[in-house]
Amino acid sequence: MDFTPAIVAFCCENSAYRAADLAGTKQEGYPSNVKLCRLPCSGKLEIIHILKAFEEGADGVFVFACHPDSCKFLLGNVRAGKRIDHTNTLLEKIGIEKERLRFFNLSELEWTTFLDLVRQGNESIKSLGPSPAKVHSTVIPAKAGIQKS
Amino acid sequence: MIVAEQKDITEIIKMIEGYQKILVIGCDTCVTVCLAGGVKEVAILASSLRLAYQVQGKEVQVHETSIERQCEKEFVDSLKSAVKGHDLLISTGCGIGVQTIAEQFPDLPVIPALNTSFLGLPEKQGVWVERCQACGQCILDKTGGICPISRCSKSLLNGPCGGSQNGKCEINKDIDCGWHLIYERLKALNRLECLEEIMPVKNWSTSRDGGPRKVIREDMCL
Repeated sequence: MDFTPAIVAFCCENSAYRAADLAGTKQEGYPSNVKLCRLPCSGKLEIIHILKAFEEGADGVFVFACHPDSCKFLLGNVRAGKRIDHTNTLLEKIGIEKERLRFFNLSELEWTTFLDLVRQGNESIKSLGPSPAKVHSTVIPAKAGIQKS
Repeated sequence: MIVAEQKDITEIIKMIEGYQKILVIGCDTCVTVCLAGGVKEVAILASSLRLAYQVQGKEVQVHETSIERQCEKEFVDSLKSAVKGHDLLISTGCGIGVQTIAEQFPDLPVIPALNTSFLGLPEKQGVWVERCQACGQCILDKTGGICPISRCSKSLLNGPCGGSQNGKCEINKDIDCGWHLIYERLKALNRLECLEEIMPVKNWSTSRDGGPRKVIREDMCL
């Protein structure tokens, strides 16, 4: 089956979003099915944002935060990490593989790492197949940018 | 405030089996402060349930709403239109909220999404601690404003017991000895003589031993 996963990547605007931008200026592409969502800080990410992404058809969610001790708001990346752990536990309990939610630390200059992580992440979500929440779902994704295979 | 925590999602899913149209109702007061059942938590719970049903391939509708206080009938009455058409209500309020909703909507089953834990306060971000057991006979005037009923593991009235060591309770070294705290507080207030007064055996009938309690203010009754 030719499966193109729908992936939402939440990116801190102080690191991963800039790294993505840098990758763009280098004219390096990354999978177009990975949709970036810009955050003022990864600490701004709420659990509900991740759940909504899955509800509306995402097969995978990536969260990019700054490296430890590098958060502009001091602890935003730590808080994001804790929320990801909590959400992973929740997802497993409701029947969604925790591998579908990935957390990465990145700096704004690591554009090659960004590309590698996005490409590898895309492949790993592809190997998992469509989200189990999507397989049986009768819900039509409401938001533009999230594809339904 | 009342402190509660959410039940495990798998327990909630098991409790709501067989229903088709579910309304999750939050409470914007105590359980919002303890991050257990406010608007945000209701959204997370409702979304989790919808996802769980999507995974199971079941067509179950889960809606969400929240009111100012689930423990007052006037506020619960405002749910009338929202409740219409649902076959199950999930309350993310405390035990009082669940029961108020059950009383106001006797035709609909209501299930609790939280375990009501205790009366307490937020000590720091993400940590809540017990401060009152609603025993019905406050003696905080005699104990420097520290409650021996809730802070002493044995609820002793003339403590401490022999198990107190270095200011910590014998049941757990992370728990402060309530009576040690009382002693230090009274010492700081220069009121150590309070400790010389022997407190008589407590009448627990005003607490949980006296059956369901009721407060009546005749002057306020209509």
